[in-house]
Amino acid sequence: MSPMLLLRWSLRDLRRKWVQVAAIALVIAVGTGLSSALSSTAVWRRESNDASFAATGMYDLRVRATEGAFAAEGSLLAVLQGLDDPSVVLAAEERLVVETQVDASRPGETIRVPGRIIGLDLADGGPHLTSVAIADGDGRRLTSADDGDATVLLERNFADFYDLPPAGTLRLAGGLEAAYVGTGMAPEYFFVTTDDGGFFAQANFAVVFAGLQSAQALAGHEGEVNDLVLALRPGFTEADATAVQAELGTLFEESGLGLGATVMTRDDEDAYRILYDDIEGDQKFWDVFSLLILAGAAFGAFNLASRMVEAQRREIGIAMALGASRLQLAVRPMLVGLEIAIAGVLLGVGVGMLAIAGLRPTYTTMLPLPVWITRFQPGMFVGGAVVGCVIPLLATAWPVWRAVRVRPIDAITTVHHNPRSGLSRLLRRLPWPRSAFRRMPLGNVLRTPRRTLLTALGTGAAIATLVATLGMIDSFMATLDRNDAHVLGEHPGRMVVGLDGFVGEAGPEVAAVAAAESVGEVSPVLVVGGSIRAAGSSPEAGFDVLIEAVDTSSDVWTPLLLRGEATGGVVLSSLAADDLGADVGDDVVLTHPARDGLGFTMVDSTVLVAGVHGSPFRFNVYVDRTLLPLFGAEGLANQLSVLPAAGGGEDEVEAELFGLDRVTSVQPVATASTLVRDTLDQFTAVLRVMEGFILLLALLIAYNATSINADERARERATLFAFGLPVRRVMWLEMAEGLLLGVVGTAFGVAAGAVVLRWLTTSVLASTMPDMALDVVLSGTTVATAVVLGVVAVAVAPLLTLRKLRRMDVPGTLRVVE
Amino acid sequence: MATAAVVMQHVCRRYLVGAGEVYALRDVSLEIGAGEFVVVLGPSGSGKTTLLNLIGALDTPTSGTVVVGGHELTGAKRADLFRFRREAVAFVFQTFNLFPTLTAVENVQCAVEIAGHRRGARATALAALAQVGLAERALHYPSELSGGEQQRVAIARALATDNPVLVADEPTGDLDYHTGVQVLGVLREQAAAGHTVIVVTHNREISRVADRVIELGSGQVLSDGPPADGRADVAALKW
Repeated sequence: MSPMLLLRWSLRDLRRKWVQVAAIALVIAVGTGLSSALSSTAVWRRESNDASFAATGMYDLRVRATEGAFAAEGSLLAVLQGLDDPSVVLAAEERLVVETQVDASRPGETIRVPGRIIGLDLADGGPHLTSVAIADGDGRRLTSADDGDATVLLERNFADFYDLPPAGTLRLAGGLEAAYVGTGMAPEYFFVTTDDGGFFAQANFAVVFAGLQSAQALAGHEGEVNDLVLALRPGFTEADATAVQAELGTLFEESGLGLGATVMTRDDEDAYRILYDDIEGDQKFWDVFSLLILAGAAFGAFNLASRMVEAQRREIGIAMALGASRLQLAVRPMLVGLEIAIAGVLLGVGVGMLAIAGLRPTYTTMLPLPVWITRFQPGMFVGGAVVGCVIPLLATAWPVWRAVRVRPIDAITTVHHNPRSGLSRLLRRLPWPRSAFRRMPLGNVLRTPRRTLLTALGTGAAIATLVATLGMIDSFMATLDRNDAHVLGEHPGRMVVGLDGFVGEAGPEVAAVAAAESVGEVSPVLVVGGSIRAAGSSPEAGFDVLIEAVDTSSDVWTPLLLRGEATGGVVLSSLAADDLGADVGDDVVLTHPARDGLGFTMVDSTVLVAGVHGSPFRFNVYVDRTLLPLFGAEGLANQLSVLPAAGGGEDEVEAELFGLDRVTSVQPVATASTLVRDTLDQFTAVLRVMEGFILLLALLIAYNATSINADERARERATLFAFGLPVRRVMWLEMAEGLLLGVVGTAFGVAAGAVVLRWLTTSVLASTMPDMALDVVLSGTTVATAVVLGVVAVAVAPLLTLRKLRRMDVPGTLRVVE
Repeated sequence: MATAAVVMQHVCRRYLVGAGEVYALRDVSLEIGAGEFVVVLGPSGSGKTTLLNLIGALDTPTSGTVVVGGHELTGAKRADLFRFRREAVAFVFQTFNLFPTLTAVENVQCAVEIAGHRRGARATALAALAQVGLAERALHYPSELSGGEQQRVAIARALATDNPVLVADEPTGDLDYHTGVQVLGVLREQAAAGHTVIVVTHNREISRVADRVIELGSGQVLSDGPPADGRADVAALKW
C-alpha cells in the first residue's frame, strides 16, 4: 500500500475515533505526568534545600560553646587568626545563643513554650551567615538601627503553628517584653527539633532572633558571645572542611577562653541533616505510587488501545484475505498507536505541570523553606514518556500479531458473532431473567469472556490504583486514631509539664505544681533517650527509643496494654516487639542513661519484656517507676503528667503553672497528637492531590471502555433500532451491560487494590518508615467511592454516547457488513 | 483440460460444534483447469463457501491436499500463504467485506497496491470500477452505497488485482437482473482472458453460463461436468 493511501486512511481513522484517541492519550498523560511529578520530589527537595541554605547563608562550620560558657565579643573571631591559613575563612560572625522561655499568649489562648534567643551580627546589613529569611507579608528584616532595642524576629514554624500575626509582642524569661516585627526562617530551624531529639517541635519550641546587642541585653550577657559561624572559601571539599574543623578544635582548646567549644559541620546540624536524609526515604515511598499510577495507566491504555484495534480485527482479516503482508497489516493500527503516543506525551507535559501546581502548595506548607523549586523535570518525564510511547505501540501491535496468527477466515469472523462461544452455556442454566431481551446484556458479557475480562481489567486497574491510594490515607488516619487512643487514654484533657532538668518527685517543684488550684492530679515522669536491641545481638542491630518511666498505678495516664503487665520490665510497642523478635517474658537489652556522680553515662541493662502496648510508634518504651533505680534516678522526674482540676481548663493550667520555678513548658497532650498528624499530613496531602488525578484516570478508562463497546456493537444497535426499539431501551441494555462489567471490574479493582495496599504498608513502608506500624485499613468510604466509580460510572458511561446513538445512520450502519 | 489451476485431493473440513463434529467437506477431490469458468452449485450448508475458502487459502483443510496455481497450500508456511493470497488469488466475498473508512476507489486501489502494482494503482482501480458500472460512485463510502453497489465494488476489487485465480462467493446475490448479467459478463471476460474463475451460487440459472458445474451436497461432490443443456450466453439468462 502506498504511504499516501495509508496516511489518508489513518487520518480518516483518527477523525472517526479522535475522542477515543484523545481519551486514551489522556490516560497515558495522567500516568506519565503524575508519575513524573511524584518522581521529581527528591530533586525538588534537594534543589530547594540547596537554594534555601544558600539564600540564608548556612554556615560551613560552627563553633559552639558548652552551655553556660561565654566569651568577650570579638574573642572568638580573634582565635581564627591562629589558623595556618586564615584566608580559608571567607566570612565569620559571632553570635549569642541563650535558652529562654517565650510567652506568645494572646487573648483567649495561652502559648508559653521553652525557646532560644539568638543574637545576630547586624552590622553592614548582616547577618551574612545563618540569616533570617522573611517572606513578603511576614514583616520586615532587622537592621542595625534595631540593635540594642527589644526588637526581634520570631521563628516562622512556631508562628505558623499557632497562627500568630507577622508582628506583635512577646514576653521572654525574666518577664522581659520584646516586640517582634516579622516572622522568618533561619537555616538551623527550617526543620525544628529539640535537643532531646524531638522532631516537628515547632509547637513547643520558639526561637527569637535579635541583634547581638539586643540579645545580650535580653539575656543579661552584655558584651558576651558563645557561638561562631563560619563560611569557608569556595571550592573547599568536605575533606578540606574536616581538616579546618580539626584545626579549629585544637585552636579553641588551646585558646584559653575556657569555652569547651565544639566545632560542628553542617551535617552535625539536625535540621540540615534531616532535611537531606529524609529525601531518599520519602522518594522511595512516592516512587512506589509513581510506578503504581504509571502501571495502572499503562495497563488501562494498553487494554483500551488494543481493544480499539481489536475492533478492526475483521478489517485485518479482510486485508489478510487480500494478501497484505504482516508489515502492511501492522502499519495502519500502529499509526493510530503513534498518534496516541504523541498526544499522550504532549498532554503528559501539561498534566505534569498541573500535578506540580497541585503538589507545590503541599510541600511549601508542610516543609516551609525560603526557596521552593518545583521545576518540571524533563529527565523524570522522559522515563514515563518512553513507557507512554511504547504502550500504545505495543497495544496496537499485539492485536495485529494475534490476528495474523489465525486463519483469515477466523479473523474475518468476529468472535462475538458466535452465540455459543465463551461462557454463554451458563446462561442456559440461569432461570432469570426469562425475557430474551433482558438476557441480552448478560449474554453479551458471558459469550465474550475475553472482552469482558479486558474491560474489567481496564476498569479494575484504575480502581486498584484508587483503592490503594485512598486505602493509604485510610491507613494513615486509622493509625493516627490508634495513636490518639494510646496517647489520650481516658483523659484527653491531660497536660504535659516540662521541667528544667531532674527534680525529686517529693520535692518543692512537684509540690508547687500539685498545689496549683487549676491542677487536679499529678503524676511524675522521667523521660530519657536510649536504644534497644534483642538479647545477644550487636548494638548496631538496635534502634533508638524514648524511654518514659511512668507511675503505672496512677489514674492520670498509663500505656494502653495489648498484652502482658505494666510492671516488672519494659513495655514495648508491638512493632518494636516484632522487630526485636521478642515477646512478653523475653529478655532485651536496653541502652539507657544511668547517673554517674553528677552526670549520666550510657549503660546496657538486660531487662524483661513485661508487656506490649498499643502505640503505633516503635520508639515509645515505657517502664514503671519502680525500675528507676536502674537509671540511678530513683524518685526523680523531668516531666509531669497533669490532669486539670474538675471544672478547670487547659488555659488555666497553662497560665498558673508557667510562672512556676523550673517549669519550662505546659502543653495539652493533644498538641503532641496534632504534631504527629501534621507530620503525616505531608503524606496524606500529596495522596489527596493524587486522588483527583486517579479519579480522572478511572473515569477516562470507564468512558473509553464504553465507547469502544459502542463501536463494536454499532451494527447490533442499528438492528435493534431497525426493529423499532426506542433509544432509551437500547441505552438501558447498554447500561445494564455496563453495570455487569462494572461489578466485575470493581470487584477485581478492590481486591487488587487491597493486595497492593497490604504490600505497600508491609513491605515499602517497613523500609521507608521503620518507626511506625501502619494499620492496613480500607474504609467504607473508600470502598463506596470505588463502587460508585467502578460500577455506577461504568454503568452510566453509555449515556455519553447518547448523542451518537440518536444520530446513528441506521440504514448506512446496516448496509456496511463489518 | 488445460493445465490444472486447482487440484484438491481427498479434502475434508471438519468443525467441532459442542461435543460433536460437523463435516463441511467430506473427501472432495477435483481439478480445475486454468482459464475455466466453474460454477459451484448447492443448497445452503452444502460446503460451497468452505470449498472457496480453502482454494483462497483463507482456511486450511482438516485432511487432504489443496494445490492452487502450483502452490501447495496444505502445510505451507504462513509467509507463503500471505504471498499466495497477494499474487495468486482474488476473492469476492458474499458479505463484500469492504473497508468502511475507504471510498469505493480506495477500496479497489488498496487491493491493487497490496497485490504489488503500486504504479498506476488508482487508474487501475477506476478502470475496474468502470468495468462494473460504478465509475460515478468511485468517491462514495460503502455506507453510502447500496448492497448491490457494494458487491460490485468487491468484484472490481478482485478484478483489479489481475491475479490468475478469481473466486467469487454469490457475486450476484444482491444484484438485480440487469446488473447481475453485467457482472457475469465481466467474469466471463476474465475467464476468456485466461483467468480461472470459480463462482459459488445457489442459483441454478447462473450455472448455465459456466464451462463446468460442480454440484455439492452435504459436503460431497454430487456431480461434476458441463451444464446439462450446454453453455448458454450470458444474455440468455433469466432470474
